[in-house]
Amino acid sequence: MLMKKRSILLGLSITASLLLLQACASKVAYEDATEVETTTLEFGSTDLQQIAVKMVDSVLSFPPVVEVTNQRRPVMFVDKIKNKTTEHIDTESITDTISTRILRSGKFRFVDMTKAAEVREQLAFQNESGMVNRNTAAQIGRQIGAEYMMYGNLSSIVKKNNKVKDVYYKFTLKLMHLESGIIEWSDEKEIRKRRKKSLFGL
Amino acid sequence: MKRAKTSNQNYFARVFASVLLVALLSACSTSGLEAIGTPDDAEVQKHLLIHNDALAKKITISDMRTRKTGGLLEVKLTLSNLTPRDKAVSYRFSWFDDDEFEVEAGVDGWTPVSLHGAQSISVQGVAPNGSVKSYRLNVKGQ
Repeated sequence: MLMKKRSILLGLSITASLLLLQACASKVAYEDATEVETTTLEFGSTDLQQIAVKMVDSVLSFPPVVEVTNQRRPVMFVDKIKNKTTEHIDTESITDTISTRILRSGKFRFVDMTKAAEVREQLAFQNESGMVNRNTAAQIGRQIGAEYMMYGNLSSIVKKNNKVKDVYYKFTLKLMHLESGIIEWSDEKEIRKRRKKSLFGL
Repeated sequence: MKRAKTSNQNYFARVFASVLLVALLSACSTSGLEAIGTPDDAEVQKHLLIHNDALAKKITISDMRTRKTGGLLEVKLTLSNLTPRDKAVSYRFSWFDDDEFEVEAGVDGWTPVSLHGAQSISVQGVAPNGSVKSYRLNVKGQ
């Protein structure tokens, strides 16, 4: 009886020490890219995903936009998002996510202004170099002009004292009808994050 | 003396068992609640799956509503905190077409929300495109 108990105890202690040892070894693992990430207080992947979801859901369900996109797929161009925070944030990554989601909804089409120089170079090669068959060359001056422009701001307010650091982000996105200059849609997403120092200041 | 030794051993066995139990429980904390809605199918229109009883006692999903906006399925659900304490959870929508294939799989991320004691909030989502016929909302503790 005593032997049996001893062997159970031995088994348990080996399992527990294995668990403890496992916790000490550093290892690399693949994680869910959509998981909530709270490593630091800085702008992170969860913030980017939250902003994109909110903005795309909002623009696609806004009644006047729904009315416009019901019959046709208007052409849009996305301007840069102005980063007014004190952090270095890749705002192009935010607009990329937003425009990809809007494009894949099938409600809008996009023109990419960041590639205008490359497109001009390629069209010049096709039409002026004499190396491309005229029947297959893409014609200059037949691109479709954008009807709408999307642009916005990302700003932040950071406050801290000895124990707490609080960051508030506000992302504003607007959709302008280029010809009339009217803002057809606008929305904001607010995010607040707070870090409290633990008892031992870690 | 012998009796004292046995009770000592029992004590250690209990401690080890609880350490193991905590380790096992923490491994299960990723599962949570799942609300599934198929608005067009009257038989399985709405149902709720509970994968985590402990979380289901604290958080509940109710009032599952849908509508079509410009050909896109729009979903609204209510998340309620049943406890008097603040509770942090995260949720994620998944979208499925007529053949139950996931649409735009892995695009929606987990969204963190903080619920005050006994607070209810509405959680809304818009389907990524017009082919979506059913949805799933996963809720888990943070």
